[in-house]
Amino acid sequence: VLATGIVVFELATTAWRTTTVSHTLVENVRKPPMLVRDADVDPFAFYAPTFAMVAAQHAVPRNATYTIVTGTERKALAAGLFTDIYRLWLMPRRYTTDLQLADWAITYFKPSEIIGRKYIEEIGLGPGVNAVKLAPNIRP
Amino acid sequence: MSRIYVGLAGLNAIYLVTGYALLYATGLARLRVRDLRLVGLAYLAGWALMGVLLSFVVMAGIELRPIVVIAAGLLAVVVCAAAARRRPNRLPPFAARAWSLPAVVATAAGGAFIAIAAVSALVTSWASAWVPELDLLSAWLPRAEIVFYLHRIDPSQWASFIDPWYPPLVPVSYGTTFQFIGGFHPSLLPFQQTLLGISFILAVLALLDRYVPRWISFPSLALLMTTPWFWWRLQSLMPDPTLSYLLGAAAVVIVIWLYEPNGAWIALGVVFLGAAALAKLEGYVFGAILVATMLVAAFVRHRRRALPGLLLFLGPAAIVPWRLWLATHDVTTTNPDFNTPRLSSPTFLADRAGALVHSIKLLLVRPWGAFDPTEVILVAGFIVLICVAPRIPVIAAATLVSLGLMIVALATTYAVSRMNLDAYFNYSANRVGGTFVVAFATLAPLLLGLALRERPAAQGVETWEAEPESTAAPSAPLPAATGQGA
Repeated sequence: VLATGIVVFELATTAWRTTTVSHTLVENVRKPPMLVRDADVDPFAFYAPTFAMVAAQHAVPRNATYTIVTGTERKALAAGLFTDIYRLWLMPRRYTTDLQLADWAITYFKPSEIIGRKYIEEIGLGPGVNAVKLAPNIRP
Repeated sequence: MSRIYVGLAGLNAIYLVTGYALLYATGLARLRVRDLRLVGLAYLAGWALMGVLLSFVVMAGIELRPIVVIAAGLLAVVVCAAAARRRPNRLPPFAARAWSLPAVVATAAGGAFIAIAAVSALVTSWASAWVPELDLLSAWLPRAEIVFYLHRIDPSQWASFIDPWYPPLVPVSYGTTFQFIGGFHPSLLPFQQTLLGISFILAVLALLDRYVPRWISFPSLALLMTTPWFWWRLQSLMPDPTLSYLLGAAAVVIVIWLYEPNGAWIALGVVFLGAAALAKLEGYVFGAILVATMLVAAFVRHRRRALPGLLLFLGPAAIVPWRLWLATHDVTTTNPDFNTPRLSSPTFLADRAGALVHSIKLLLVRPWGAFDPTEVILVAGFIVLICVAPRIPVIAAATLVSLGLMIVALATTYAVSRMNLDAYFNYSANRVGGTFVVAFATLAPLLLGLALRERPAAQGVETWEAEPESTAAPSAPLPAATGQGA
């Protein structure tokens, strides 16, 4: 009797829930297909322009060490989240928090002239985002 | 594009073949057409076994490439085949099932709901955007990229992301997927995760099928499958759903072993527990609690016949090589929150006692407030637990104690944390605590099925080969159960 009661209760709850699940199925079947490379970056569009992320991959060589410099001129995206997203996207490039050890810098709403090192090339990636090739450090 | 689909299919085929080899070695599968019903169990077991093997491979410093994955899979198949030949294991045959119209209707309805939810989850995982949760961006996916791009665990890169002490199975699994599909494509991972979740449901159905009437198991699993908490998280890339599948499957096979001691259940339990230990720290803690509690119950029920059950500790022990790897490579081995000087301080513990009580209260009440069907699972599970206790007291008590201790262990984690308790709880509790709901949802029908088998023989209802709960002495096998009568 207990088993029968529980099964009836379970089936009734499941039937109610299955209507929502079915609606989701219909919605997703109707969605136009997306290319895999677009689907990879699509969730980030909520936070920041995704073309800057993709452009950063082309600008910074795969074997380079880079750092991320964030400014305070405008806060479209929290600095920590910006760093997490770009670190994820720029793997296997090696990230460092030490500007002096980096070959490249990704700047986020920070003028390249005042990041604390000389640079030899600046590539615009998107609004407020640049890839900066740093001048070699001359160590004593 | 075809490389992606061929790669995905190839990797899933490796998991499936390895899993069937393991089931063959344990005697659960005979590699006949009717073993297709074990496809979910084979996939889950193969995924877990390969995850453990490949985690050991990268810990040993061997470069992880597709050829290494294929070689590891072949090695597993050869070892399983050799084990099956040298020491064949047999399980009691399936009992014949009588049928009745209401039972068939309930089974069919449950099956239909599961099928709709599974198809919907697969389509949604393919068509919807993946969800970049914070821990995913800052820990799990970057580490998967390390495995994918560098083919190994680079200690300095690994330690540069948060919580480096977390074990490597999930990043290794994602990194392996990237290697087979030929690129870093996080958008394809939800599909893989959904496959894993569906395989878990099918695995539990297959495991329960030996002991539980289908009119009970199908509706129970259908309810879990359609619960918002479970269904939406099928495509989550966080390791928590994976952990809940592994621990849920481990709990089921260990309870079955408690009822019917057989090496097959120990072998499966070790694989699931090993994968859980290497998936997340909670897996090792919860796994150890589960094994310790069930072993005590096993010694009460089976005396010396429970000794082989000690092998189950091999599962949680899978964490040991990882701790050694961390120590050898000078990577932080533990969360600073759990450092010994801090936890052994009486003043600190006294100070946090109130937080522990608060955590337990939150854990029992809050995470499920927004998800009504989850509460149905919990309430139904408790009713089942209370009602089956007179017939299978040891198994029911062991289940209750192990789940209770897991809840206390998780509450302790929250209580001793430096983070704000409520903020930490809101972020993490229904994710991690979901493991208990999954375990409850899978164990409740099993307990009900076992209790139905324990009806007195005088009433003409049969039990399996296992001895009745009330006596530890071996009993003669009785005629096959109908499995359909309530």
